[in-house]
Amino acid sequence: MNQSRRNFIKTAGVIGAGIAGVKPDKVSAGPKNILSDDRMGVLVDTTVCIGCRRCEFACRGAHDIPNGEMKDYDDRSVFENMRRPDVDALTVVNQFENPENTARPIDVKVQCMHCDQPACVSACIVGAFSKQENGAVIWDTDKCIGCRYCMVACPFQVPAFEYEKAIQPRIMKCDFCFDRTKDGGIPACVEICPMEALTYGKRFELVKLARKKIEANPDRYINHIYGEHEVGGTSWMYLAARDFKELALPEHSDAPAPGASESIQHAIFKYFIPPISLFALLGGIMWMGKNKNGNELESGE
Amino acid sequence: MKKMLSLFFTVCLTGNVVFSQTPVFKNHAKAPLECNQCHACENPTYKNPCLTIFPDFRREGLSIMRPADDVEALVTIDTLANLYEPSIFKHKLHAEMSALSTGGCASCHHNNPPGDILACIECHKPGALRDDLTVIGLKGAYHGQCLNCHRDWSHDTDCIKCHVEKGDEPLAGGTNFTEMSQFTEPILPKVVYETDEDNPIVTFYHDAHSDIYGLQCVDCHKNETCGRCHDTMEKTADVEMEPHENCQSCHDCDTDNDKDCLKCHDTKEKPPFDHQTTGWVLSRYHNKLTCLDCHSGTRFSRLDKTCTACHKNWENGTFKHSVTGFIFDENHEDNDCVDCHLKRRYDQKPVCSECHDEITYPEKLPGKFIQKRTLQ
Repeated sequence: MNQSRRNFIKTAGVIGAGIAGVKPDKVSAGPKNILSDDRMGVLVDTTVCIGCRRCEFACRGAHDIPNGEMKDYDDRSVFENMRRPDVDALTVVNQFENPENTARPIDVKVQCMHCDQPACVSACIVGAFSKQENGAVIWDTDKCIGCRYCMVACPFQVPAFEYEKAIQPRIMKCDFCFDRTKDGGIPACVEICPMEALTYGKRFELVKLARKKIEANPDRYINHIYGEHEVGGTSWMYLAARDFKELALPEHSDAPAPGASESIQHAIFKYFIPPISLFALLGGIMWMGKNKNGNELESGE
Repeated sequence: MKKMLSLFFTVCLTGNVVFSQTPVFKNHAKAPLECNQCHACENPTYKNPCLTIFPDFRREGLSIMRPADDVEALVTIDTLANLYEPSIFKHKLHAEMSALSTGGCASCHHNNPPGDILACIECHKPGALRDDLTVIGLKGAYHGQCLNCHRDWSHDTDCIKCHVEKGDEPLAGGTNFTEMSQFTEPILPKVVYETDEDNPIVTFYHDAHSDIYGLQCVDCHKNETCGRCHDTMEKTADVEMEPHENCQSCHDCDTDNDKDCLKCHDTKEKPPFDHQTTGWVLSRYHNKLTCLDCHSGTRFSRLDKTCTACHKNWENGTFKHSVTGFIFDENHEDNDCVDCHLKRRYDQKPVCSECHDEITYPEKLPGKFIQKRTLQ
């Protein structure tokens, strides 16, 4: 009895100390301890990609989305429109004209960038989103309440929502093939890429590789690794011959995307103080109003 | 005992030094090179070779070039034998064509260390998980090399162009390996250009230039890309090369001189050049010569028709008359050249009646013809 009581006090003390130790201004979506040197990434070389769309095929296959036959993906007409990742296509390839060589358009694969400081993790009010140690940003469908805050927060507008599903619609996005990568496997798109335009490896090694490539071929690449610093760094990074703005990759500062909104939002939800105070205030007003009404009723009688 | 021990250690130490310096990598460069041309660090090891990315072996003398006739005709690529029928790569054909570009062999065998020419797999290892990310994997290397040019031809990237699924019918002509090994790019017979000049038509006998005039493809096609000729979408590849410059490298002509223009420009197609029109029919032997063997310079002017003008060593005793197709009988064997070829007119057929009476000629010839031919 004594023992368990002592334990209880101990545990309560630890919890109390824990709560006291966490302050809203220190909360960060990208947990610093997770961002180890060993986290993985992918380097996309858009000068190598030929737009064969095999990554789209493999991605669907790896995520139980009907993917048809491989030869269906030889269809070039899809490039007429700009596409975004969607619930049934977690990655898509877009094609851009190459003014220097019209016969060789530039193909750019789009998917979740797996930010080091993910805004979706920050924005998720139920903590369904998380940044994993291997670099993946994943989410727990069971926890998700479908608020779609992640879609609003994402600086790359990646998460998609199953609007057409009436029952249990899910958020969908590239999960870095977490089921495969967590056990040392490689993402399905990287595995199938015939040109090896996608290189999977430790992020810091990919940055080194990208720098070497730029150094060795200064005419081939612009001197910019997209994703090295954008929104605080991303696991997926890009090399290109042209300005990334022209390839529909949004221009971002080096500041992490969660930024200022995070401290406000976390301050609101972390201790439930503002909501509780708000409810208390409203409750108080109601209670006062009720008393008043009661008095009025009483006086009316 | 101490001496023995010290000796033992010395042997071990020197042994270590010797072994550590021996290249253990079987494809290690063989030519005398500075280590730092390939290795970034001072003491490269087998496990950590610290190779500089893309060492520049294309510098003259470092990469090995072999003549296209001397290379493997076909290379079978069957790394995906469990999924697809093997891809047959027409290596010799590609080697021949690669001579037209600046790269030559090195356009595929890039960064080949001095020594043997290596297969792709020696450097590019299969699998996407590699220790050294700076060297692309085998799959990327294969596809990169093939699609780099073939993309410009067909503008598609359909897998079936190379990969036939296991058990499926191979592509047309895909199984006859002997035929494929002998396949060479057909040479265009004739190109008719339409120009903006008053006499617009320029007829270029392409095959004659390569087959008869002894030109190599690279003499004109100095810096080609595959797509310029093989582009299936733009079949009539625009002539980027400066035509006058190319022709003038052999044909001496003044572009400001109207008379010279008419040599090529005409209102209709010109017939191919026939040497007979110059008054000299090319014989069996002369046919095999290139223009420049007889004509020097860029003016193909009239030459002295006397045999000895070119064949300076043809004197009595050193000349085998049988090469002309005519063998003397024993009565004529010892004749001097000028006995029959009066005034040393070797291009004209000697007249027997100038020596012999008309009764024995022409029934009895001074020898026998081993082939029928007209001596000019």
